[in-house]
This record gives sequence, structure tokens and C-alpha cells, in this order.
Amino acid sequence: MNTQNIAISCRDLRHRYNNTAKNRTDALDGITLDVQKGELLAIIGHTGSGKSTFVQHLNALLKPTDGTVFVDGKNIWENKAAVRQARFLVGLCFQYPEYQLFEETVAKDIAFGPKNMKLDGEEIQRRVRFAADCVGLGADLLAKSPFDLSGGEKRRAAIAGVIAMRPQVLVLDEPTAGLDPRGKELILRMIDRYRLETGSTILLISHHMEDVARLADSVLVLHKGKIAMRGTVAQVFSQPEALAAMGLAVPNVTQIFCDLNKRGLPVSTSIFTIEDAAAELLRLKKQGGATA
Amino acid sequence: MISDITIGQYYAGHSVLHRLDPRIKLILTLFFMVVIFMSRNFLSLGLIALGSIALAVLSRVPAKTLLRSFRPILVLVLFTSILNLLYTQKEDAHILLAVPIFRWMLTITREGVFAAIFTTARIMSLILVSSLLTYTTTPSMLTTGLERLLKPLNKLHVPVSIFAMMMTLALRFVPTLIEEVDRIMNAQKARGSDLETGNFLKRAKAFVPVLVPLFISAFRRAAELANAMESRCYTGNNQRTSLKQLKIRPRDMLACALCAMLCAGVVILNGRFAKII
Amino acid sequence: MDNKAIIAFQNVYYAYQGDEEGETIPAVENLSFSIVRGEFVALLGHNGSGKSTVAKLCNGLLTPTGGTVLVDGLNAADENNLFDVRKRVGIVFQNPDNQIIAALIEDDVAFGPENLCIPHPELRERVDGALKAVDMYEYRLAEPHKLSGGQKQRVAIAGILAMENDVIVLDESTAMLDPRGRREVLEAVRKLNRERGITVLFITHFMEEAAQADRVMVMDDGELALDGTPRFVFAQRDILRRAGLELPLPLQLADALRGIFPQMPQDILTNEDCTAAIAALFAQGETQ
Repeated sequence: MNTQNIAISCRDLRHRYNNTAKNRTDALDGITLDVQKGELLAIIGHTGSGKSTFVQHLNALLKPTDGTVFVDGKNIWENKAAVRQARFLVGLCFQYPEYQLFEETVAKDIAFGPKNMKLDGEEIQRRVRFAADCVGLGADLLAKSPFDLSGGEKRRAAIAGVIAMRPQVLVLDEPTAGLDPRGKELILRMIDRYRLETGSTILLISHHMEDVARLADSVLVLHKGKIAMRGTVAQVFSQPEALAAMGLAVPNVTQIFCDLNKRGLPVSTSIFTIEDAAAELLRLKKQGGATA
Repeated sequence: MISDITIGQYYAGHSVLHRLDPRIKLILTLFFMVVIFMSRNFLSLGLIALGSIALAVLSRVPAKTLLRSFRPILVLVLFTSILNLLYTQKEDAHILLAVPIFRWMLTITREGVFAAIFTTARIMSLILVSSLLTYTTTPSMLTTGLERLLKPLNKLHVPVSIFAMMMTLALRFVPTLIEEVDRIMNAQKARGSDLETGNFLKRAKAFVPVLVPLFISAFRRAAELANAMESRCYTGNNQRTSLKQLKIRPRDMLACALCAMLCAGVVILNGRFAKII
Repeated sequence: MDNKAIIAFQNVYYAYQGDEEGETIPAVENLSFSIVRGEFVALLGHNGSGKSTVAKLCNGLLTPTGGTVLVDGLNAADENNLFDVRKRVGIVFQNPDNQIIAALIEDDVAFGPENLCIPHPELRERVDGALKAVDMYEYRLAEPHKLSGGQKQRVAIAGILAMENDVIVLDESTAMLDPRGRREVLEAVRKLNRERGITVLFITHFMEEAAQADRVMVMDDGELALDGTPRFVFAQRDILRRAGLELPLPLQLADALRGIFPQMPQDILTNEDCTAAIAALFAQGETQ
């Protein structure tokens, strides 16, 4: 394998929390994983499976008890400078990131990361404009106080604050949690566009299998701190029973097609989106299965 | 990550001490502290030490855990005993040791040694007894006990129940806010904020991005909490009942009797034998 | 006026105070509806549609700027009625962390009945009964910060049950939960509605959840845009789209398939409906 194409590489990553008495399950237990440059990897697993713990190792917020993390080929715990570098190479956007907003204006808040990178003023401004554009925040909103924005706008402003660091890898921890359908759709479109424009590697933690099927190239399933599955969307979602055993589901469309298949209709079960579904039924119709 | 936060130092258990009424425990702890200061000679002090140790054994809190509560005051104990050792001067003191240091004479007297031992033993018992109270009583039980004890103050228009509610809410929200600080710190660190290096001023400045969101979130929580409390018919000045039923049981009476006996013992020993302090 | 109505909104207006002097922002405009005892009503709407304002109007946390809110015939705007109104209508809020008051689960559930001055031993019975009803009895001595989001919301529901309220309003109580937590909460309130006849007003922006209700109301810009059975409401595609809502997946799929199969039925609601309809399309083909 060409190591130059690998954005993130973890080798036997382990994490134990200090307090041994408590039965915390979201520690990590031997994670070995490569993420290709430009890949959009979805991370799924139910609450407590170690998803959040795992991503906090990628930008050196948490130090592994054992094992190593390489970002762009460099060990992030090699020295102090590498640790600091990792924060900027891997942009981590936490769940409910709007609670990190603090500046007087949205523009200043987005500039916080680039400022910490000690960039010059002009470059900072360029990045603020770029990030605001990525998330679809207009110039009128940039001058406002972040606390005067709507919930969805706050969320996008907070994500812009991470994008402005121009990280090689963008990690989004449940970016649509708690948003209404409109706010959610804007975030999903933003992820899609950001990816097209920058070609960045993206790690997306999500509970919505529909969103995973729509956006991701590949899926990582974590269960009790271990990798339970790693493969393409089709490979992972073709195992509904195994997923169900871990408290996870397949996309709803896939479920419908599994049910159809069980009823004896000769349809594929590798159907993940509505477009897939329409195409599959059209194929069946052309074979002369239906009246219409 | 701060993953497990417990307020105070409650040690879960079912010992006799755990089961005592919190009001009785509060009063007896205060009483015990007074008795500690009543002792005037080694015999009565010995009785007190014996009593404290017996309580510690009864609590079934591991010795290691108990010893931990001495750690923060170790320096204080050392300091006061050295002071006692060096500065207990009396006319008829028995000088045990006299070492000249430059133009000053370092003298250690028998009285000094006694005073040092006495102070140390007193402070240790004090700490042991008071930490046994917090080891065997949950913060919320302590609050309830205090509230009930101070209830008569309500007649003097001291809003005891409101103070108790504030205490309850503080106990409930401290872990939540600590988690929140942790989360915000991580979020700002992920944006390259450096909270660990630099001098005091630089670090204080670096905490602005943590404190601003923390305050905003605390105010939002307070507003939501007020709604939730009002929705459940809390008005701040209504009469309330309480799920926690406190009842004086035989074991509480027994505890009182034992404490009284200890007190009597100390008084007798104080009178019968020579005073040291 | 239907005298069985437990909650009745009559031409209700509500406007928030704006930042500037005298400025007001309308949140609810000319809203009229009534909810009958024992109903399970879902209230849908995007953020800012006014649905949370409705929740707070229901138990007098907000006082309407126009019109009347009646709870079991009592005017919720009257200060003297507040206690009785809140004894009837309980609210489960969105953030599970900001509504648990005590550091111990059972103390929290007892908070409401304590305010109602319920004496022992009834108080104890109510607390234990409420915790059992939401399957949280074994956690009665746990500390809130050690529970999952879904568990905390169930504790909040128990806190209302212990007050023996007639109505539970869930103000986006599932928005911050993971799928498992959402399922737990929805199942808990459905059970209470079915078995104890508790009236439920379930405010959400998840249409899948609303599909499980007896009746669905949709709010858009402070007004009631739709009101009817789930099947009726979900058939009004244009209004729903305008209200910023996303159709449940089986409906989306059925709509998409109608291009290929014009005979795809209109009244699809659940996965089962959709599976059956597709299977029927092809079953007909085989019989011909």
C-alpha cells in the first residue's frame, strides 16, 4: 500500500480511563486502522462504543494508554511540536459545538483557530471568508454576535471555526444532532460541498444511517471499544443481523428491501438510498415482474 | 477526561455510622469536637483517641481511605507541633535539650514535647471525627439533616428551606458543570488554544474562551431549571413534605448515650489526674 | 365547547419581547385547538415555528398576550389557578440535564409531590410507582449524571407521573437523544397513554415519531397549518414541505416510486405499508 495516500493511521490504539473501578465501556481496545486521503469515513456505534474517545485521540486531545497514531505519516506524540501540529492537522468538531462560541462577533470567533496558528492578519481574514462561505454564512451574519444567531446558524458558525484552520482531516461528531430537518439538510449539503471543493478527508460520527448511506464512502463500526466492522457502505449495510446485535440499524430503505426479499420478491438487499430503490424496482419491472 | 465525579467524600456503606440519623450525627460530631478540647491530660486524651479510633473501625471505611483525609492538613499539623515544641517556655520547664545556634539558644523542654504531642493528637482526632461524618453521610443527607436542625430559624424569617434548596441544586449541578468545563476546554484546545503553558496572566487570558461559554451555558441552564421547577409546582415559599423521613431510632439514642459517657469519662479523668495543659 | 377538553386554546396570541424598546416578536398567532382527555397528539414544526411556546402556554409558564388557554376549564393566565393548572399539566423539557433537580433519582421524582404536600406513606408509594411505570425503579438510588439521556428523560416523566398529572407535554424531549433513547421515551409515553389514559402532547420535529400518534398538528410560523390523523396530515405534502418538515422515509419512497408505478397507493405511513404496497405491485404482475 502506498503510505503517502494515508491520512490517518492508528496502530493497536488502546485507552483505559484512570478510574478502574467504574465499568466504563467507551475505552479503546486495540484499534488498528488506516484512513485514505480524501475518504469520507462514517463512524457508527451506539452510545458508549468509544466513538468520541477514538476521535479525541486523532488530534492528541487524549493520550493513548498504548499504541500510536500517525497523521500524514507523522507520529503525533513524537514531541510537543507534533502534538500541537496534530490539533491543526485534524480539525475536531465536537457534538453541540455551538457551546464553544465566545467572541463578540461570528467573524472573530471563526478567526480564533487561525489566530492560534499564528497566521498573519490577511491570511486569517482569507480563511474566515473561506470557512464562512463553506458553511453558507453570509457577510451580514459575520458581523453579528454569535449569540444572536439561530440554532442552526450557531452550529454552522462553530463548524466554520474548525474549517478555518484548513485541517487535512475534518472530524465531525454528530454534526446534525438536535437540529430540525431544515437545519440538518443545510449541514449535510455543506459536508458534501466542502468535500467536493477541498478534497479533504472527513470522519463523520452519526446515528443516522440514511445520512451515512448518502454521504459516506466507507463505514467503521465500533463496539465496546473494538472495531466490529470496517468496509464500504455496501459491505457494512449488507449485514443487518450483525448490526442489530450491536444495537444498530440499517437504513430504513434497506430494511424495506430486506423485508421484500423475505416475502419472496427477487430484489437485491444492497439498496441504501431512495434512488437505489427506484432503480432496483425499475429493473424488476423491466424483467416483466409487474403489471404497469 | 473527568469521567467520575462525586461531591464530598462519601464512602458508600451500611455500617452503624452510615445508618445513624444525620441530625444526630451532626450534633454528636460537634459535641465530640468540644469534648476533644476539654481534655487536659494524657489519660483523657487517650480516651478520646480510643473513642475516635473505635468510631473509625465502626464506620468500616478502609484505613487507607481515612488516611487520605489527613494528607491536606499534614503541613498544618507539622507546623503547629514544631511551634509548640519550640515556643513552649515556662519558668520551671524541664529542659531536655539545649543547642546553641549562633547567638540563639534552641531549647526543647518536656512541656514543649507534651504540648506538641497534645496538639497533634487533638487535630488528628478532630479531622478523623469530622471526616467520618462526611464519609458516612451523603451530601444530600447532610443537607437534609442541617435543614431539619435549623428549621426553628424559619420562625425568625431565616429562609432555611430556600438555603437547603440552593445547597441541593449546587450538589446536583457541580458534576454537570465540571463535565461542561471539561467539554469546553477540549473544544477550545481542538481549535489550538493553549491552556497549559505560559505565566499566570497568559493562562488567565487563555481561559476567557472557556469561561464565556461556561457562564452563558450556566445561565441558560438556570433559566431552564427554573422553568422545570415551576412546572412542578415549586414556588419557593410553599409548604413542602419530604421523601426523606428522619426518625430517631434506638441506635441514635445509644450513640448519644455513648457520647455522653465519653464526655463524662473525660471530665473525670481530667479531675483525677494532673493537668498537662 | 367540548367539555371533555383537557386543554383548549382559544384564539391565542403570544409575542416575545424584542431587544429594542417596545419591539415584539410574534411566536404564536390566533391559535385555536383543543385536546380531549386520553388523546395522544403530536405537534410538529421546525425550530422557531412556535411549538415550544405552545408547551409553555399549556401550564402557565407563559401568559398569552391575547386569547385564552383553558386547562380542564381553568384559565391558565390566572395566577390563582397556576398551582391547579400545573397539577394537571406536566412538561418534560428538551435538555435532560437541566430538569433533574436532586442529586438522587428518587429525590428528584419526589420533588413534585413534595411541593403538593403529599404526606407519607403515599409519597413513597407514588415515587416508587412512578419509577416502576417508566422502568427506572432499579435506578432509584443512582446519581443523575451516571444515567443515559433516555434514562434521564424517563426519570423526568416519572417526576410528572408522581404528581398524578392528567397531561404530559413533551417539549422536544427526544431531540437530544440517540435512537435508542428516543425509542425508550416514545415507548414509555405510549404505554402510559394506552394503559393509564394519560393525555400526551408530544412536540417534535421527527415525523417518524409523530406517525405513531392518534392525531398530528403541524405548526408553521406561529399558526396551525394542519390538524388531523397522521394519514391525513402526511398526505398534505406541499404544506408539510412549506413547514420545513421531512416526510417519513416510507412516504418519500412511495412518492419516488409513483413515477414508475402510478398505482402506488397514497396512504402509505409505515415501513409495513410500503413493503405491502410494493409486494402487491409485483404480486398482481404474477397473477396476470
